[in-house]
Amino acid sequence: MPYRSQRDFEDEIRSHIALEADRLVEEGMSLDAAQLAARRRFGNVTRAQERYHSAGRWVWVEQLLQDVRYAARMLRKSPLFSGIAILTIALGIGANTAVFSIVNGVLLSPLPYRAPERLVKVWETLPGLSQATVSYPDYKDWQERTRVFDGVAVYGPYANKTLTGGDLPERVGVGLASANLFDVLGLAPAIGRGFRADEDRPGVGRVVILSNGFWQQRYGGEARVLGRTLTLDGDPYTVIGVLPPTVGLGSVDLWVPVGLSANDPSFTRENHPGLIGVGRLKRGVTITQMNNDLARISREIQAEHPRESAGIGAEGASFRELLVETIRPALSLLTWAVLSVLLIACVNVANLLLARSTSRQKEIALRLALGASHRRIRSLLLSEHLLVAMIGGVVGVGLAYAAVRAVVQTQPPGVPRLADIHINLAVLTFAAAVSVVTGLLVGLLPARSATRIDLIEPLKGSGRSSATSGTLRLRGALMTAEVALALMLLIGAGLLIRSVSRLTRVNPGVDARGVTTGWIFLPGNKYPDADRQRLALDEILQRVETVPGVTSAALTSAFPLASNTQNGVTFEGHPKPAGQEPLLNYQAISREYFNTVRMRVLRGRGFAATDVKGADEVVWIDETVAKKFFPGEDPIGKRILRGRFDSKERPWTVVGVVNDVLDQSLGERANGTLYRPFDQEPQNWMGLVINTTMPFERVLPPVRRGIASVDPALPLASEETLEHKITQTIGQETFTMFVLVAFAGVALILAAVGVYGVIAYFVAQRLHEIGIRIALGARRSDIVVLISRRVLVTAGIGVAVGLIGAMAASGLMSTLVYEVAPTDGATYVGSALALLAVAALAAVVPTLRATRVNPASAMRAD
Amino acid sequence: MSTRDAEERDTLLQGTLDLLILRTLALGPHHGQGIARVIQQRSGETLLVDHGSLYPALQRLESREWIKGEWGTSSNNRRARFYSLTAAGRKQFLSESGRWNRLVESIARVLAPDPVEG
Repeated sequence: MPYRSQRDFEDEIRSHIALEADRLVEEGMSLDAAQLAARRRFGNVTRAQERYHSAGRWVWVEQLLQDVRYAARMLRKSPLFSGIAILTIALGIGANTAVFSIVNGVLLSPLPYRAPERLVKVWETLPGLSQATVSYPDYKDWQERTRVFDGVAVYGPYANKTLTGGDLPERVGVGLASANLFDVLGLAPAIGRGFRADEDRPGVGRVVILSNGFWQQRYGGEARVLGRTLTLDGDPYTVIGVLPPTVGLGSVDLWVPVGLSANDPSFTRENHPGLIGVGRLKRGVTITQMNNDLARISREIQAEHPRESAGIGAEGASFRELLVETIRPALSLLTWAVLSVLLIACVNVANLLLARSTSRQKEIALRLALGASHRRIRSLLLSEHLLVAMIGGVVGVGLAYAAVRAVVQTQPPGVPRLADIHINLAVLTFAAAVSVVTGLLVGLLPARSATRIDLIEPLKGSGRSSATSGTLRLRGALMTAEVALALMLLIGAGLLIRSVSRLTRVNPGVDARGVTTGWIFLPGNKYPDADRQRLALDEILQRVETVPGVTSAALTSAFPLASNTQNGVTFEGHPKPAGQEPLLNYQAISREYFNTVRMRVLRGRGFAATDVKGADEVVWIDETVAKKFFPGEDPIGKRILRGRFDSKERPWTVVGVVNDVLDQSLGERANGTLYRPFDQEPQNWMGLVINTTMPFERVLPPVRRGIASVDPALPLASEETLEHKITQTIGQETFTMFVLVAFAGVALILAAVGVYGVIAYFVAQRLHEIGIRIALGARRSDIVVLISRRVLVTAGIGVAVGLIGAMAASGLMSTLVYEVAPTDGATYVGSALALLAVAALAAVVPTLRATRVNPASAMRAD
Repeated sequence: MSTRDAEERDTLLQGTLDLLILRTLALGPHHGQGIARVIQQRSGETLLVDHGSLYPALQRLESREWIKGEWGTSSNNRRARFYSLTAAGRKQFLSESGRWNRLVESIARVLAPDPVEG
């Protein structure tokens, strides 16, 4: 039925009365008499209109508007209550919205590629190394022999080149891409074109494709960039295209064809030059089938190249899974945590509403007595609750917006797809849905208990109502739930705090205080051979050493906790079959390295001025290597060979044992590292470690000038303090901890407010009784015992439930904690005690109020 | 209408008004006053429609989409809302009147004078 206005209906009644009057006139009545009779005959016009009105389908809209107006008035009338309720809900919904927007961006939203569910990444496996990068000739073989891929490509995100032509030379991240990479991903260039197959080989005209970020940042998204020439390491490259935003391909500014490097020495079959495979599975092919096919191809390659490919396999996994696997446990923990915060917020507001509906009993009783239906009262209360939740939701979305911005800006390490984290339509829909559910959840109990009241008692003016004991029980149960949830969060946060504090106390093996790091890259065309590289780097080191405030400086091919090169080696006297050689970290260093990062030489000698080119080839090993490969022997003087037992290289002689240094992160064990003099094996990129007595920012400019005095085209790249570098390795753990601690803090405050509310209510309800007790001679301490018992029972049950809940949920934590059991007793007990203390603290004020009751006035109060 | 009038005439049985309206509209479109008039006339002036309750009934039927109302002009040139039966309304009328007839028959049988035994 279409909507009919009230006016339309009135018109109809008027027309009816006129028609009736017409008839009566026809029958001979006078006009006046006829009109009067017609009106009388119709009866009560207003009543007819009302009956029309309340039968209409649109009446609920009108009632709802009325209820909302009324609810808004009620909220304005008690601003303190409304403020607390709205803020509480805003915190809950805000936290949920923020976490959901992260979950949505990182885990739920599809990758920006065509049919991303069929995309996989593929790597190689070496004995002792489960994920190695891909050998270029192996990749070529995959491409030819695969039965499972529609297409397979490689990319290498780790290269760097110096871009010149601007004000300062700078290092840019260069990605190597096979010509088919963007086709395999299903990624059409934003402008321009992709690589052609004939550009993907050495010795052709050099072309470059810009990443979207680099294009926006450097060229403001201008299309005119096409056809421009960029100078990279002194070579000209023509810009042929720009990519749309990508995900999971590393931080690459510029893409060049991988084939340009096909003749590099590192692109031979036995090398793994930082390439990663990307495949598009044929429709219906599973990961297992793919891995079986890769194993088949690997066996063929091994058979054909027994020397280079011994022991080398290949494996792959879903592109998306690889991207999110490390963050998933943290996000699922945070999701549960944030839901608990929301539940606690709901419980708190429900508690508030219960308290208020008790004080509003008189009003409600009056409404019921005047004939309002229970349904109508419930819908009135419900619209109040929904309104609170809605306003809370809007404020919460604002909070979430700020929180998400802050998170994205701090760029927490280890969180992929930061650019995809937005407050978008999906997130807003989520927030709206959560608000409605919150409103219903919060309002359910109070609305039910509010209408189940006795009409007589409240109207008689007695402050105490018959609903009291039931309400008190209900509120006690809510408080128990709240305490339990808060305890679970507290335990989770406690475990993470302990875990992170263990991590930060882990001895990395170096003393990072006062150490600054940075990279220097020598372009291959200007520094083509070892001598020129050695010369330039030596000179740079000398200049840096003389900078005021620098106490020592050294070159190193890798930084602590960031090893980047591994070699298979053979220990003289302990040959392994080909392909089974142990893989050890390899680090080239200059003379002052051990001093600069304060490593200790445990046996043998340190770095000598004589460890240079042409002298004996020497090597230092760390404790792990010494223990593992020279058990019960003195390693000094033993010889190590790079590669297989039949390698033709000159062996290195062990001259010292140094302490272990963690090679990946604070949370992982060291694998063993070999240190070699840079002078005996120079390379064209080296890290610089500088130990200074001055702050990092003050030393950098003169250091830069020192480098520039050697070659003005040399930038110092990714400079940062070693301390920062080390803490970054546990960045994700620290981030998760901070977020969970924040949630636990909010939960604790809300729980305290909840406990306070329940106890204050309990005291208010018992004021009369307490007055009598005091009048009969009870001491203040008896009153304290009375109330404390109440607090302890309610909070105690909550603590018990919370402990059990935390045990049950400890599985969520197992992958997130370091050297702390997810059921760590101390954390559990400590958190429980902390929560009980907070509960007791929250009960202090109402308890004090109870002990100060004046018996006379308390008994007269009703 | 005096109190006496009302006593002499039968008031409508609860629930029969809907059926009577449907019956009236089965004859053709009418406005509200016309419907009341027709019912009264066809009942030999014995059934008196409470004009006040006529409209909620009309509204009820309209919301069930058994009848639909449209503004038109009456025979004496007054604007009036004319109601007519929809297809669903016609169906409803047929089944409803069948039910009614069966009910009346049953009641009549119950009320019939005691059969002479033997």
